[in-house]
Amino acid sequence: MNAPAGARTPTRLIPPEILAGLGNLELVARAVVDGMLNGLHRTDVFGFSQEFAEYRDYVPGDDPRFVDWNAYARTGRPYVKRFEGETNTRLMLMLDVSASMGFGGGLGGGLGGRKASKLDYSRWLAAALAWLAHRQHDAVGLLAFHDTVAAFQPPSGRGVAGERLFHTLDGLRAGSGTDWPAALRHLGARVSRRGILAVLSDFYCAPDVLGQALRGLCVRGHDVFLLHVLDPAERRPDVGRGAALRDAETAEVMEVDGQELRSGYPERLAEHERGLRRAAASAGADYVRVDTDQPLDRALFEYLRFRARQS
Amino acid sequence: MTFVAAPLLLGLLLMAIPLWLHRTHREAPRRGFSSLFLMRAAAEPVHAERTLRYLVLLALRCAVLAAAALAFAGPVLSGLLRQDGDAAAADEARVPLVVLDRSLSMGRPSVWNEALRRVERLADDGAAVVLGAGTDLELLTAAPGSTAPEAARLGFGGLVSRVAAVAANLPAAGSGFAVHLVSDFQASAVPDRFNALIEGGTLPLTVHPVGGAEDNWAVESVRLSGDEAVARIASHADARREVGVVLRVGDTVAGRTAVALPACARTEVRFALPPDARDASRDIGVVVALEPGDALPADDMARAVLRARRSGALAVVASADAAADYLAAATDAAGLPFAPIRIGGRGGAEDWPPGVELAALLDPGAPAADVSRRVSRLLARGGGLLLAVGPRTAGAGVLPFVEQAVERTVRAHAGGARVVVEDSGHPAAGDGWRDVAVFRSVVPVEPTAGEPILSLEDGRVGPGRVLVLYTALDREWTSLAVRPAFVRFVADALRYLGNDLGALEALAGAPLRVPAASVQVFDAEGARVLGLASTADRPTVRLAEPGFYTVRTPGRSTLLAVNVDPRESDLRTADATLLARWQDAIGAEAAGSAAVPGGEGAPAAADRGQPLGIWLLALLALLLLAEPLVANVGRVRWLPRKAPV
Repeated sequence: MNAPAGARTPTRLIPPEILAGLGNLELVARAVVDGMLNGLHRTDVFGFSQEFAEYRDYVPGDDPRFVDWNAYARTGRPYVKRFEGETNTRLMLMLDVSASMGFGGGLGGGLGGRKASKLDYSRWLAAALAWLAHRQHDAVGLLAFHDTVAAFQPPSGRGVAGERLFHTLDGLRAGSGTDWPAALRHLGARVSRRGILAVLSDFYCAPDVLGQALRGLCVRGHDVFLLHVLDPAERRPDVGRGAALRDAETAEVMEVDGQELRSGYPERLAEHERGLRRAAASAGADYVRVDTDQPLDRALFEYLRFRARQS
Repeated sequence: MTFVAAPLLLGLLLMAIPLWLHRTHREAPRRGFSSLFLMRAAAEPVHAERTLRYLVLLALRCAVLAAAALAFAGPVLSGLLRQDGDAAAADEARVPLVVLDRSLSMGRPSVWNEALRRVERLADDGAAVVLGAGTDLELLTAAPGSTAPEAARLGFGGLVSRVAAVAANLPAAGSGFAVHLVSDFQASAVPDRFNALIEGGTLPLTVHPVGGAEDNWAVESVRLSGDEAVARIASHADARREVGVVLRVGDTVAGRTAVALPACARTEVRFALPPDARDASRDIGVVVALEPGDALPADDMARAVLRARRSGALAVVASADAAADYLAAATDAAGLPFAPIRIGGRGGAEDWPPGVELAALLDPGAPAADVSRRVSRLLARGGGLLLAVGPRTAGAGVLPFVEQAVERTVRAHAGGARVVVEDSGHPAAGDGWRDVAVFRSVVPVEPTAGEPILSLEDGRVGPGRVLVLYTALDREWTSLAVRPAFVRFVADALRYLGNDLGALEALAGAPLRVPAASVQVFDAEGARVLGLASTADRPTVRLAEPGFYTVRTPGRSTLLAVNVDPRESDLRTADATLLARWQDAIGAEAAGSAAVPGGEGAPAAADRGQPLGIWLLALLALLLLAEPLVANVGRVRWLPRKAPV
């Protein structure tokens, strides 16, 4: 039985708690992406399946599989079929693995059983994006950073590179602080060709500073896609009447008032998000906020929408 | 209970637990958070509030343990309020309340004189109050020397309580009393339970033993059995002794013998009763006495009453053989002087024996004419009639001779029902059967529990008496006849109807329930001890002196033998250690009391020590309620209800 267009069936909506039980990151990526695509392929909004566009002359280096042998038989000249959406791009995953990303599963707790931290969620999301790109024959790369670069893998469309990327993602652990300029410098020095840059972070930084850095990337032709990952406990922190909170990255301790936290903090967070959104828009980037208690589909949808727009 | 009691200290030691826990958890655990980038520091330090809450919690938890330890240690308030000096001053201010033992054992001249001297010394300042303790506790208004010992028994169980009750009503109660008990302190007067000595003791007690142990011999009892009198003679001496024993029947010496009494033992001496005395038409007093007398002459003789022979007959007219058999058996078992005779045939003149004093009509229905005539004559002569109302009489609808309609009849049911005597104060309503449970196996009619089975309205037909029993005696109707109470019922009812008081004996000073209504009691000198007006509701009387008393009921006179309590004959004294313990225990009990409870200007009775345990338990409950509330302030929050998926 065909599901209605865009309908979210149970196979697509895999909650993070379930994903946390799947140890294999590739399996997570496949489950998420396949589930999402099964729901997409009957829609007319996001269709990007390869449709015939034109013929062009064969040039050495083209994949012989795409030579139209029927046309060659009729004309005696080799032509290569070109399809819409065939245009390959490069997806660079930029993953923040600072200590603050290790937060999740409740205030003060770690994973709290099978609950996912922001880093867990970001790794699944990165893996799903990588798998989605792999299915589109896009080259995928990875830059994981905190106060230093934790892992770097240049974009590559080969299957071996994809497997290595999954392994790299699997081995990432939360580090210490966050050094955005260093990470962006590293990226600029090593990735020269334009492509899509998906940045997964909690973005605990000044929006202006981030916007300035993003402008540098966008000017060089990168299409930047910001994924703001937040834990539910960060959106609605509950400390009762008050508590002493310790910063995961700086170890700074601050006594906060529970009442103020309930009234003032959400407003500041919303303002921060608006600032990030403005900074992204001014730089020509896209911004999406994802919560770790939601299925990954929404982020993937947003990515696909972004990808379609760019192509 | 003091604060150095081990259980209390151990309980308080538990307070170390919350102290330790709060010490180790003084610092609030810090919570990790992803970033303080968007956080604002609290205007006021949360730590201070947390510390304050922890201090309150610590105090609450310590208070819980302290309250529990104190509550179970049983503290009293008096120890916290009174100073020792105050108590000593209060003791000095007390008025001496001298209690003089006037029991039989104090009748030894040397002991009594010593007791009087002791009382005079105690009452030297003229402020002392002297109570005589014998048959009753009575205030001696005259000089102690003018009083004399009684033949009564004095036990020490509950004595201090009685003294306190009397003292509370004395004029000088406001000043407080200090009790001085002057007695020979017989060992036999000490109760088995030590607590009985001190219960209710609100006044400090000082004991003043007088006299000492002496050898004594006594005639404890005389029992008349058939044609002989059996005297029981007790030796309370450490040495064997030969004594003479004399039997007097009326005014005549009927026997004399010599008996060698072993040390500390009891011996029975038997005398044959004179034949003419056994067939006497009136009661005769029998006395067994020892010769020569000893230090305590009052217990050297004992008395009994030889009952006049009575040959009255009980004519039984019964509709069922079983009912007649049950009544005859009960009459024999009760030892009544009435011979039950079943009236057969039509109840004519040939069927009635001579000398019938009582008649029992057991569910007669409408009695035959001859029976009616005979019973009417009997009642006209002052005889008695027991009328049992069963189905036949109920069917007839009218109570014969009484000429009243049958309003009820009691029929037991299988489960049993407790039925009662209508007038429990009636002379025929003995203690043993006023409240009788009856049963039967067939259930034709269910009686209501508490329904009267016996009408005791002193129904009279002319000079005769009629008792109506509202149930039949056959077992098809009720199980009353086979209940143990039935014999007692028959004895009481027939004695009442036959105007027979039974064998009467009493102990001097002990309460005696007057055996019938309309009774007069006269002593040996003919002085009236109890008048008719006093016996309308069967009162209790104490006959202070031993001897023979005459009990007169309408148309009949009988003798009552009053003897001394044999326990007074044992002159061994209580252990001095026990007396010291008694004195100390009463002193400790009364230490918190500076005056007699209820006296004017005296501290309240609570001064003896108001128990605080119940209040501490209430406090403990409150603390236990408050502790989780304080501990969870700010933690408990109502969760929003989840919307249905």
